[in-house]
Amino acid sequence: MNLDDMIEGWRSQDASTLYGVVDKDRLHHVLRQEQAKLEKQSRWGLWGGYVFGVAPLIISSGLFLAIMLQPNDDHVRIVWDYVVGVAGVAAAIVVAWTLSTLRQSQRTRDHGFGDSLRDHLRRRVAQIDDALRERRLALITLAAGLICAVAIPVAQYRIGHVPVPYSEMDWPSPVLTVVVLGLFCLELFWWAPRRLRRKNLPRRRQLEAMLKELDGQ
Amino acid sequence: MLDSERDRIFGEWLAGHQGILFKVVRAYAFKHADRQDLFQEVAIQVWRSVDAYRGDSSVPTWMYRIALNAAISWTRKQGRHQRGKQPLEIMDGPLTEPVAEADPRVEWLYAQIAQLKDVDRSVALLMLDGFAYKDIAAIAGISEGNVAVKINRIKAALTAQLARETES
Repeated sequence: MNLDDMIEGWRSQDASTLYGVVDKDRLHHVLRQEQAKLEKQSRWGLWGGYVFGVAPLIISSGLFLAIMLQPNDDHVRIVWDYVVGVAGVAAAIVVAWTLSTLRQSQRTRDHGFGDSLRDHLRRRVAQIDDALRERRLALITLAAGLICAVAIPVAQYRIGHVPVPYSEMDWPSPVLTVVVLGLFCLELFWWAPRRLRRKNLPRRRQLEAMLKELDGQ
Repeated sequence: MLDSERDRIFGEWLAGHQGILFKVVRAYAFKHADRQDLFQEVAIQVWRSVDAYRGDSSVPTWMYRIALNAAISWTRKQGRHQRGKQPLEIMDGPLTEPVAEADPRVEWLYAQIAQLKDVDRSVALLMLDGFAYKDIAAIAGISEGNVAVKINRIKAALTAQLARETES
């Protein structure tokens, strides 16, 4: 018997009896579950966009407008009110814009690859690389989030019939602020990247090995 | 695309070319529970790909492409599962047990394919199913020359193994 006989046997095999039969009801059930999962993911993605992008923007803009429009306070509104309002809104816009451009670039990148096995592997590598170097987003989100976090309570103090002067606001202690900021920075720029690398680098190496295998002759 | 339309097209594809999914599953998964899991994964990926199919290639070529990508991804995930991260127990999958004795030639070929690396396994499956070098190159994303080299090497290894077994 030679290889041609073997290949002939392969091509004449009866697929349905050799491999079992597909239980269509069960498969249909699996597909419905998959569909429900996809819809749920899509809903969460949408809500995530609202919560992290649109909601801070609306809250900051609302507070800013409230400061600007409230009556009877011509004598107490000072330039810092404008600065706080504008900074809060700008930070919220930056967060929303960053998230939106990030999503856009991910979509563009994913569509930039074809359907071949090589493209499939390269797409995975690109996704891992993105996850590994997402410092820009972390930095912008941290900075903008902190500005929003300060601007919103300050704006709240300044809204009302008797606005609180800046000198009488309850500012957090400098030590506590530095500690909290330090922990945030450590998490964002040290612990989280290390976790990501530990999780993703073996996968990346495996994908690279497969790409090499694909190219190897 | 409407869900019912996607289901209809997927049903037609499955009825006409389910052998492709079976072969890919058989080449990449070696236990019944794993085959159930992989078949489910491959079927889901093919079902999801219905929207993206533009008719640039034939349906079998498209299904092979999606199924092989899914199988290779599954193999990597499976490697992580096997390292003890997450136990996998899917016994009630959409695939029933085989009802016929396999042709020994086919069994022999599967045994040889199982010895190959993941990527070469894909090329071997496509070669055995009679795909042209051009199609294999498009599915794998490599040059036709590279396909030819790989296929020659696979055929040489199969022939040598066959000769060894015949002698013994």
